[in-house]
Amino acid sequence: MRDDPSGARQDKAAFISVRDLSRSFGASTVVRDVTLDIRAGEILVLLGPNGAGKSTLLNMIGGTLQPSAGTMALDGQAVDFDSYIAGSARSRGIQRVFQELSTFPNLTVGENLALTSRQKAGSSRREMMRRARERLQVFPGNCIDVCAEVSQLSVAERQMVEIARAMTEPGTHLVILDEPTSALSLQEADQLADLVSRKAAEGVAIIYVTHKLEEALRLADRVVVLRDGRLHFDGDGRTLTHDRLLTLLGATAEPTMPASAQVTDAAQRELLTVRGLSAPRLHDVGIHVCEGEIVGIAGLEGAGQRELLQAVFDARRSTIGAIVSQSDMAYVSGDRKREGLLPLWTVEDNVAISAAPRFSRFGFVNFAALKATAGDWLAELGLSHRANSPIVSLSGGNQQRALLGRALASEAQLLLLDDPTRGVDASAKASIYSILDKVKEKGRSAILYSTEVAEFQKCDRVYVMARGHVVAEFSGAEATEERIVQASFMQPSSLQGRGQVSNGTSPPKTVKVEPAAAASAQPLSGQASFGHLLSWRSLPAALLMVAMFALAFWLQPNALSTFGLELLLQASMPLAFAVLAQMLFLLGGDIDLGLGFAIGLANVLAATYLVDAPAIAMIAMLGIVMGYVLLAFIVEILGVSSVVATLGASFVWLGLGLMVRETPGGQSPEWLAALTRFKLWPLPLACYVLLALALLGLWICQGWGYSIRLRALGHNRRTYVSLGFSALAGRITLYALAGVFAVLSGLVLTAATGAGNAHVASNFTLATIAAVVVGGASFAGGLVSPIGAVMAVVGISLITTNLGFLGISSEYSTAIGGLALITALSFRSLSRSTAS
Amino acid sequence: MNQTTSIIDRPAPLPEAPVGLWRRLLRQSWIGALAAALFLWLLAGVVTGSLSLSFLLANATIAGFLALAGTAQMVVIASKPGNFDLSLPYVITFGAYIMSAGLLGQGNIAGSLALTVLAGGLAGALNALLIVRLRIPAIVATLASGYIIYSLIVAIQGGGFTRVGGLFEAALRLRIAGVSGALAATIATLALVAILLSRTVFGLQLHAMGQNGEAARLAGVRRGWLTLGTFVLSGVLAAWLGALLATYQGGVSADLGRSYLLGSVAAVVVGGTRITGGITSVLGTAIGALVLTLAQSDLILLQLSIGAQYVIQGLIVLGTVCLVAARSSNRG
Repeated sequence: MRDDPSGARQDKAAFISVRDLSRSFGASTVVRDVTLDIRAGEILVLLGPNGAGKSTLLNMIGGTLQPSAGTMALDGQAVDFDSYIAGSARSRGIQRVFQELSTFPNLTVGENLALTSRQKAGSSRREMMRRARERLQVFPGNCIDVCAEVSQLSVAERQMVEIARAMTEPGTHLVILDEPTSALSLQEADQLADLVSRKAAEGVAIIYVTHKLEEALRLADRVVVLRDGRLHFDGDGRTLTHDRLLTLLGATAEPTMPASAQVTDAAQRELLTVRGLSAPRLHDVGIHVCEGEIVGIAGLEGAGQRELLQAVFDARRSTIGAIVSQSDMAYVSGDRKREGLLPLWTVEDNVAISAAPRFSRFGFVNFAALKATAGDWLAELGLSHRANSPIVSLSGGNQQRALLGRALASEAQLLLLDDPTRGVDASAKASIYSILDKVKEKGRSAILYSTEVAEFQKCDRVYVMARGHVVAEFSGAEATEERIVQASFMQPSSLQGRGQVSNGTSPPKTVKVEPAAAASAQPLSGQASFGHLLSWRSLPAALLMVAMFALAFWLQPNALSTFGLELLLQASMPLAFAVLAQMLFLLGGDIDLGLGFAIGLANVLAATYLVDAPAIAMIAMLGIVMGYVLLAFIVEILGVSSVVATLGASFVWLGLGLMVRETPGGQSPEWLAALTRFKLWPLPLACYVLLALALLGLWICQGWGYSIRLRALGHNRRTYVSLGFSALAGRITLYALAGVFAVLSGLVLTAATGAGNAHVASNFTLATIAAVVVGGASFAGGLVSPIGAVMAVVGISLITTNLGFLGISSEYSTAIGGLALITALSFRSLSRSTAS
Repeated sequence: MNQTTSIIDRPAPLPEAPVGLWRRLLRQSWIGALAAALFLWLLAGVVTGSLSLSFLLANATIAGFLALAGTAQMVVIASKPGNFDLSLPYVITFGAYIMSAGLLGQGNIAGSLALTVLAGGLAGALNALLIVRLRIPAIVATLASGYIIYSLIVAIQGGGFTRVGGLFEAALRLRIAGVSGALAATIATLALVAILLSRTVFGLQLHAMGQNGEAARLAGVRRGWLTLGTFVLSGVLAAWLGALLATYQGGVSADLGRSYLLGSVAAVVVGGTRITGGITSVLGTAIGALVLTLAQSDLILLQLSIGAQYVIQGLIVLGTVCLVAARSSNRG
């Protein structure tokens, strides 16, 4: 079934010519002999059921996956796949908008746009932000702040940033859009459609993947349908109809399900009652579910359906505020990978886990009975033959059936179905529906949230949600697709008049500003800066440092002199160098548990060789840096956890240190000691060094051309790699720099102590982690604050000093350090939870 | 970064179809460690000129202590990817001090033991509280609580300490056919933990949570309580180890637990258990501990300096972890 794409469109030369492209994973071939030409200025809509091979094909074209067979030519030049990684695809004018958003939440909008831009940096930050603002104008009237971190944006705004990033890159020849409108409002989707048409008119080729057939019909010059990895259809999109598309996609004619919805008996027991539930993204929601009822929750994506299901699940078998639940519940998520699969286990174990508490006595599981139950459910689902297969080896549809089996095995009366048919093919869908029928027959109930309106035909009643409100309720035959869709776009009555309207159905009658909004619209500048201060990540470190300084000056007023300051700050110098090393690890999302001994080794080497054989000392210290580079290879290439790799390395560092010098001793070269005695009026040297270190750290994290990339890598390695950057290069940079700072810390220690001792810095390892975290780093990676870290180091060192002034054993400084750490973190977790 | 493998490595609660015993044995994650332990024992035999079982058993007693620490660490590691218990060495030392402090009267060994275990459980509960309530990553929460426990140790350090002595010490030091009482006690403890992990709802749910916390929550696992159980178990094991060490060695010092931070993770890793969460193997950890202990004894026999001993131990850890990672990424 292939319309020859001949005629008028032959006149333009193909930008990409794909010939017999195939890709297999193990035994299964996902893409088979696909031949395709994509011409400049053409909008090609790629359709296909889930698992048809669309993503795989796009990955090969986009250069993130190597084909097993076949050739490809770009602009008439044959592509060598070995060198055709995503980076080179981008440099050849191919941009991609990913289905899973690939912006980095820890970077600002401007930085995200600059990250992939080929227009090289060298320009100022202001210039970067100006350019970002300009590029975002593809969505006129958007209110995205380019200086805000993407984590503060809504999903729709993130998607807009993502689209703007791909569509506004100069020199683009091909843009691949993978379901770009899933999070957008109608208005934004319209803007995108305009943009796509405009770009095509400029001569950019567009590949547009979508599941929304209306979108396909509206945009397509040409439609390509993939089925089972083969090119099933390739033809003119302008002459296609909705029904024809459905047929091409293999959809059996509308499954006219018998109206299984009967008028429910009013006397039925209510399993769940929700009244006036308000939560983040939920406003005054009320629903109820009776025994043996399937209740649908419809609405546009992100209208609060998932939040409602989660809130209901959290209240299972209990009464929490607005939710009264009479029964246990089981949750089935369509996001199998994140919320369903236990990937290390077999299908049977995956099903059995929910039933384990039922088949236990005194906490001990009766495995025979558990196995029997799991087996029964698997037999019912027709999965018995796969019971002992690893669950990850199953197809998406079968995985979903197994997860339904898990929910059923729990014997919970109420099933919460969160888009259970997401990403499964038609036959699996049908089998999931039939399971639902059985559920109902057995008197169990379900709440079904689905992104496909047609699925609500199964339901006895359907609630429709919009913007966190329940805006309509239909029962039985009333619940037609048209009505549901219409209700989805309704304006919740309490929201009327809030200015922005997503579509023209109900224009606001009166434009009244809510009191709360009015209050926030005119913030007092003092309050604003106070709020700004509270949200400053390094605030705990700053408070700690200031408090410790105040305490020190109060206890020892004569410390407030150049010499006094010098004494106060000297102890923190080696630790400050070390903290930068640890910070670089945390920047990359890693931890260095060997840092203290690496510093000890550098210290021993310096004290032993620097006087007599400086060359040996230098080479050996270079060896430490090389050791860190080696660790980068181990962590990056082999995927070993940095905790374990550096822990192993710590044995090696310590051992080497002891081999060089088993007992403390040695000497510091005169020039090194002289360097630390250097006077620079009016402040002690330590002040300048600490400030310089903080600024150097800041430059590494913010100012350097590479720093945006390093932060991106630290936050999300997978996305970073998929953008075509080398994670290995990034990690080597981070680790090598960390090694350099470790060596410097060892040298400073040598100068300060005048001797070498392999154990001298053994408590630095944990102290630096504490300081970096108190200073404002996030363990998610890619988010550190060098200034905060240095302030924390000063504060933590001063704790010991102050305890000395107070005549308390310095050993207690660890307790205060620990408390500071907990306080800082709980402060942050509190401010985070109030913010969200 | 780490791909999931399809190999289930846990004490199989649901027995599989019968496979050849040998083939099944060879598929175990700890088989490499077992071979290494055998090799190290033979090496000691070659160096000393006689292959002695008592050498092995003497090492096993020391290895048993390490295995307890390793098991405590392993439970935490299995509960979530990236989880580590950095407070472990401090809890061990703390337990040892409480055991020898004789707070409930000098002769009251049972009372001291109960108090020690209770203190360990409380330390674990503190960790869990920080992790669950304040949503602090485990590695930082245990770092902070470790600091606080260390200060507690310093605070009680001044009080007098006596040998625990009595029947308990005698029992731990008693040797029957070369097997010390301490070794028997650790083996019994490890067996209990193995049963807890493989036969109970707690164990099953712990493995589920470690693989995919969100999926486990939606499958009805109460993550907060399970995390509490995990860290309490870890704390109790550590304190119990402290009590054993204090009694068996006849004294305590503030450094008692120090080597167990690195050692506990090393034992898990060398035992062949992947540390990506959701996997435990008490046997593997015990064998890993034996390998590390034997390696150290061999190096002492070979008259290597303390520095060289550390270097070689470090290389063993790095080598195994790289090997395990390389093997699993090939499979994935």
